[in-house]
Amino acid sequence: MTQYIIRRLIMLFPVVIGVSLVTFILMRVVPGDVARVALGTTATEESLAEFREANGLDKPLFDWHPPFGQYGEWIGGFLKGDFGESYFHGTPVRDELANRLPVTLQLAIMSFFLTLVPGITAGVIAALRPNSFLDLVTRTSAVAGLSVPSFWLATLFIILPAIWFDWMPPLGKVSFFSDPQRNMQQFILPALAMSIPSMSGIVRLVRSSVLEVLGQDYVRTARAKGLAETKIIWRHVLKNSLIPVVTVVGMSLGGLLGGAVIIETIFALPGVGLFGYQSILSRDYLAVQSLVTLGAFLVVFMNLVVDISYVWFDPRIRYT
Amino acid sequence: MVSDARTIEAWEERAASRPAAWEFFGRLRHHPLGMFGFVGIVLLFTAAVFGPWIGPYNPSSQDFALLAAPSLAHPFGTDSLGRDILSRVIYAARVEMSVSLTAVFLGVALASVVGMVSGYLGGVTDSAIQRTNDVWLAFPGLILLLIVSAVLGPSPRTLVIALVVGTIPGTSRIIRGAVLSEKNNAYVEAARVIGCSQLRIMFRHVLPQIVPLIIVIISISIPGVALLGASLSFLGLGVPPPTPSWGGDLSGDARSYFESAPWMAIFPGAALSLTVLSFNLLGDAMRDILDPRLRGSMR
Repeated sequence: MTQYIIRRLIMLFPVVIGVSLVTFILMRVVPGDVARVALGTTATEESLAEFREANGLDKPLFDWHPPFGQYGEWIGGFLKGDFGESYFHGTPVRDELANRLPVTLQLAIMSFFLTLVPGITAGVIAALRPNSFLDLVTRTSAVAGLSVPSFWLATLFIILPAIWFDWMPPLGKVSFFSDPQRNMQQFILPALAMSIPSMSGIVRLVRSSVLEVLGQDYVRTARAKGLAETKIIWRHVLKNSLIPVVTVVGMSLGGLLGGAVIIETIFALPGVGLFGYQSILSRDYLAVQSLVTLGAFLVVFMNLVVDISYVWFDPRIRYT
Repeated sequence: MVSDARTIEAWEERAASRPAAWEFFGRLRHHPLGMFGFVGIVLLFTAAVFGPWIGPYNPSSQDFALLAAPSLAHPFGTDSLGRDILSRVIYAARVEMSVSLTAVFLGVALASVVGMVSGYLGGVTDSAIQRTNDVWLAFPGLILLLIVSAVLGPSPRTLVIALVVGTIPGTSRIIRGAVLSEKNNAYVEAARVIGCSQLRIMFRHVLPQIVPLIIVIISISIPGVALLGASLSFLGLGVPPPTPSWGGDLSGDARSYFESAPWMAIFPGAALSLTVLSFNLLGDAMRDILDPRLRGSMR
């Protein structure tokens, strides 16, 4: 098992390096002169050249000799924890990310619980009484929830309270520790908008998975030996039917950054997603490269965590 | 009843020659949610094809009534430039549908080729393709599509390319898995023994076996791709502004008017949601009907 994990961790590097390379190349292909975008249209030729030199943009992209061109210089620093400087904020990318991470993290944690707790509960209830009225309602709302784009949901969450109650969720962000009430007002709607589509997916997944497990022989055996139904559900059915859920949740946690882009943009939450979006638009090379590479690491790492967690859920699975 | 036997024979013959699509619709009639989705999609295609004749106004012509509330003249109201929202919603169906469907068909077709080559040839080819896939899949969600759109500049064509890029890796991996299990069948070996070329085995022997899977993949990919495409337009990296699009009409400057003119936000989003809902419902129904193995589990 340990060997397996170590091997997977080693395999993680080529993938992440590959992502960083692709991002590096793609960003350089984006039309538009970075210096021009950063300094504005009024900048003189001289100041443009100065900017390029200061940021190493005049150097070759790749090079066989140290410091191995722009890519080599950046990735070398990246591996040591120095992500370079953002062209537009003029601050180290690492500080920018560190400042914004708490926002995205809080959003992630809140939408994680808002997805899983109602999602699993509703899915199990629907599966225990298949084709009942409750099941029908759950399934219909799940398809509906799956079909609503999160950006529209988020938009409605802002304008409907404004119209009905004359109340706007305070945009922006204050720390939970300095003003918990205001912080919750700011985060609950974005987290909800983010979790409703994924919650609907989980409901459907759990429902079909529980139905499948209920038909298994070991459930019949458990019933035959007279085990209480609640115990069967909690001990035997739930744990086994959660395996596909773990897969989906693990992967969506890895790809969280994508969803955060939309929600943070709408609610003006200064998180990592919004930062990534703005950096792509403003061709802030080093910021995009660092963020995407870190994001890819998270994706690959979560996939590993998912694979390892199978062992806990299903002891028959062994890795060697 | 002169010829009972012959009637029955003829009937059986007809039943046998009845195309699969016919049987599909026969079953669909007893599937209310699937039927709902089907009707929704028919309406959608009507709007996409006949939009210019259905829409009451030209989607970019401006009326003096700015931000007018829904009324008889403008059932969905007008936007900040005085454009009729109903007409824009109807016109948008065309660009949304052509983008999503092109992206899905192109993406799944390319993914099928990649998946088949990777799964059937195996060896170095397979490893090379799968390692590339690993990198591709490691990009966090929307980010790769955002970068690709930024590279190519916002346009419907860019949107299609970005969506295809997003479709290929995951789908090709599913196809590869199916091909791997199909490859071990005796018929593949038989074809190889009689000297069929690899290309022939792949496309004439293996491909027909995985066509049902491909159809299901297409049907379940459409809603997701439509949502993703609209999200990109919403972020300003898809269909560019003057062209009506459900995602684009919800973004940018329009947002500052939403509070005073909520109809501007409600109708395009509702149209998109209903579209995705219809495809989801029809997709579920297709899976229930076409894939009997799953029929039990989803009921």
